[in-house]
Amino acid sequence: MSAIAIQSDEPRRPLVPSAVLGMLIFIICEVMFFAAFVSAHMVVKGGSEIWPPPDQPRLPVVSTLLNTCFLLLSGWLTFQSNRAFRREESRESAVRWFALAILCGACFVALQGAEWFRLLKYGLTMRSSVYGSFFYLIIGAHALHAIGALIFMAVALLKLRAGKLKDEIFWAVQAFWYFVVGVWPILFVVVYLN
Amino acid sequence: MLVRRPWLLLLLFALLAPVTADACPVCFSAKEGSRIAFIVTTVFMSVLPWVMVGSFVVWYRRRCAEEEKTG
Repeated sequence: MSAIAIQSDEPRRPLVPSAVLGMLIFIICEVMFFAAFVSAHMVVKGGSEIWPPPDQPRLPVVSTLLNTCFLLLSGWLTFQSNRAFRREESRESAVRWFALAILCGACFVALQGAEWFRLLKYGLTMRSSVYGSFFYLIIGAHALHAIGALIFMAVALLKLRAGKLKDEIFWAVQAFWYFVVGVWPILFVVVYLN
Repeated sequence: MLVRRPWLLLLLFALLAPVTADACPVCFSAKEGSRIAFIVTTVFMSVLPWVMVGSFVVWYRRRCAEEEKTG
């Protein structure tokens, strides 16, 4: 019996698909990338007499908190999309959930962009103070990740609609989006709530 | 005395040089808040990779066990 099992022509399915494993390694690196920014921010903040500096505009906490809801909702919609994707018969519903997730993510990025324009108008720039530098560096890095993830998700959505999306690619894209969603509350507390 | 014993000059330089070598954030800002933040972030950055890699290993082993059960 075992001889039959060994000689089976069926290709061996990897325990963790390559795309998912690669994405997990990438996410570990990205976590360290953001951890370095957060650490530097904490050390500079700890060494300052007054934080945030009195001559600098305050960050919009309430509007960003509302905006955070869009991102968290997007994460939940992605999860729902995955559930539908696993049930083979409801691919249409997976497409719908995933499209909504991308829309919510895009709303988050767009609203963040609008806030940035307002802050620039109020005088908070990269050069205005170390406070501004850290804000644009940390939040900007997150925004770049969100935009990148949304592009990947849009490509995945097109493939999903065409029925050509591989399971492992979908999981890898999701893993990256969960990372973008998951790291945001930490950044929000560190940067916005002083 | 210093001219006849040049090693004394070297010793003096070695003693004074570190005063101006601001090698870390705590060197130029020896405030309590800065010191605590430096220690906390050092621990955080040291532990984080181990936690992530450890979590992955635990998850992978669980998947292996599940796979063995299901055959």
